[in-house]
Amino acid sequence: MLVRFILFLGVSLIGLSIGAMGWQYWKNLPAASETAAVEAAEDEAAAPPEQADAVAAGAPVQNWLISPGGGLVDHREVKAFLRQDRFVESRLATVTLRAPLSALLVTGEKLPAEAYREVFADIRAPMLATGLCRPLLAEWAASCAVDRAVVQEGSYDAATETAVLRITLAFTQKPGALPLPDLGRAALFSGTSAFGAADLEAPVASPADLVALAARTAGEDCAAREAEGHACRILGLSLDWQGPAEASASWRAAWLAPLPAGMYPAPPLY
Amino acid sequence: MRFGWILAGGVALVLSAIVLGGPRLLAPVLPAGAMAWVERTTGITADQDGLSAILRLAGWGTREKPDPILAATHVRDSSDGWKPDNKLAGTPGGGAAFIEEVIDGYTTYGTDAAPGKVTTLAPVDGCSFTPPLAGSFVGHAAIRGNTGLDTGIISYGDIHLAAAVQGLVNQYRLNGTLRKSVPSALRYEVFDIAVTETERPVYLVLETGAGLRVFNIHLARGATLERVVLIGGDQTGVANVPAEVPVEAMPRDKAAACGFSPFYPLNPGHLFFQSVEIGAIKPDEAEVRLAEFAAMTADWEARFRAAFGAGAEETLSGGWYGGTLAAVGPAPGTDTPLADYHPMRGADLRLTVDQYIEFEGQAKDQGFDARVKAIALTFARGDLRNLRQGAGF
Repeated sequence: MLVRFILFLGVSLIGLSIGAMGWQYWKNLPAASETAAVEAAEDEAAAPPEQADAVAAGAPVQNWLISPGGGLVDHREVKAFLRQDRFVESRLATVTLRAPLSALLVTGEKLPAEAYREVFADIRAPMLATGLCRPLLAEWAASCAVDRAVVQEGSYDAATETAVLRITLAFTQKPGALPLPDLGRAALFSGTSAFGAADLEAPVASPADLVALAARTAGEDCAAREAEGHACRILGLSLDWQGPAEASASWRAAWLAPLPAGMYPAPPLY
Repeated sequence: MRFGWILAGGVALVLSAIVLGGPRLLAPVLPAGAMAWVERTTGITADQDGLSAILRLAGWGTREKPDPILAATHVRDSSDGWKPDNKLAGTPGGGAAFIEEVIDGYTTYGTDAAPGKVTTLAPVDGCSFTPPLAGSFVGHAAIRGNTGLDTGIISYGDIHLAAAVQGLVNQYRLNGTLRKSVPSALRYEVFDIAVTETERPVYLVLETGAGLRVFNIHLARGATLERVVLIGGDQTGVANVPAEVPVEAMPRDKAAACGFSPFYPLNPGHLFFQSVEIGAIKPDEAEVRLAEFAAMTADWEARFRAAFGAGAEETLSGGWYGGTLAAVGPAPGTDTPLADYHPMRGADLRLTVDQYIEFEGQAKDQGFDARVKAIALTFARGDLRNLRQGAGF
């Protein structure tokens, strides 16, 4: 009898604990309409139409590459180079820009009180970010989506009513002019290029113009590699626009070239 | 028979819980009034375990005899400062006494009960206080850190709301939830002051560190207040001060600008001395810092004496990191009157306030959380899903 009683007590306590956990979970869920909307947005972000095409095109089956020194290339870089069927975290375009908060207002709206301006900029930052995908898509990107758009903490400048926004775009690249070679017989080379304000012939009017200029230049770099017979991909861009005369960009590209003579690949044991 | 077993099992479980957990276990589930009654009638405090509570009831006593040396053993030399346990009251000149030696009916329960009238207290205009009258007794107490005695009253402004909106946005982006809670820094906490001086009118100087603080004043029979001066705190106030007694408040930003920057010698176990000991602060740097501390102590002593006609350190009660009570008046003894405890329930409050003040949770659609969500919704153009980010890797 005592055993039954203890069992009953134990089961009751477990039931109560699970009930309490369920209640906490349920209480913390966003409202039903919000949940549905968020899920819809997530689905949309997870599989944009451009990616669906890329999936149909098929992704490479090999998930390793050889470096010029004979070692294995870091798996994140391999993904950034090969996985053009989907967004990957190691292939991003990062844009840091100082923007006027007035650019974040909708028609008829005024800026909030001073104390709220930084969080206002943080919430509205994606409004400016979406426009930055267009120049990439116009050049060599097959798909592009805003991964993150936030304000840099403490960057609001009351005198100019501007704040620094940090925007991260995820992208995939259109198939290059060259098909990928036999991956087991090629080494992955990579390099970084950049330009600064001093290299510019004319001021860059807007962050979108800077993205366009950087995308075009990076695309030309890769095209030159492909002209030499090396399949090339852009692995990432980093851009900074603080004003028309304070713009800079750097990008990282990688290309496949034949293994040096006498080098033979040994595939990883996994 | 079966019912009997169940009953016996239940009783055994409850008794085991009481013995093992004691008041410490029961305090969170008992109504505040019930625990306060237990404290008053038995002397058992909420932090005791079951065994010590039973011993106390049996008269085998953990109730120490009034002894200032014994009382002082309940103060810990911590890296933040002197930390008392909840049996202690600070007494003038850096002394310590057991709470029951200075106040009658004391409890730490019910501080969040609904007060009576709440009136706004405007900070002083200039950089000075009305000085004490000749012949009055200057009582002086201070609290740093938290007391843990929540009033349920919060006060905040746009800066706090903006920070809370950012917190909500960050959380929503992280996991899609909207858990809300008022930051503890926006809650008024109670610190109790027992006034046992009955021969002269008491001019009370009360200091606090950062945060929102209400000094609940408990007068002994026959004690009178001449004036209450509040120094420091982001917001401060008083409870149970007779309406005719003037109260002057100087919040900490203004106090610092006016040169009212309380500073007292550091305790031996303070983080500074620990850092010196392990070499994190070099001896020559330590020497410079110690000279600075000495200058700050002397400055404050001089400023206090000029303003109130008495020494800061010699009059100070408490000044500990934590604790809930300080006593102002003669040293405890057999003929010293005890202050009478006055609860927060129904008390008249005078508070300095930020832009908004509310009783937490009373107006769910207009309170802090509702304001935060409304602002986030406005900025997100009416739809919180606009807050979500991520490219879907």
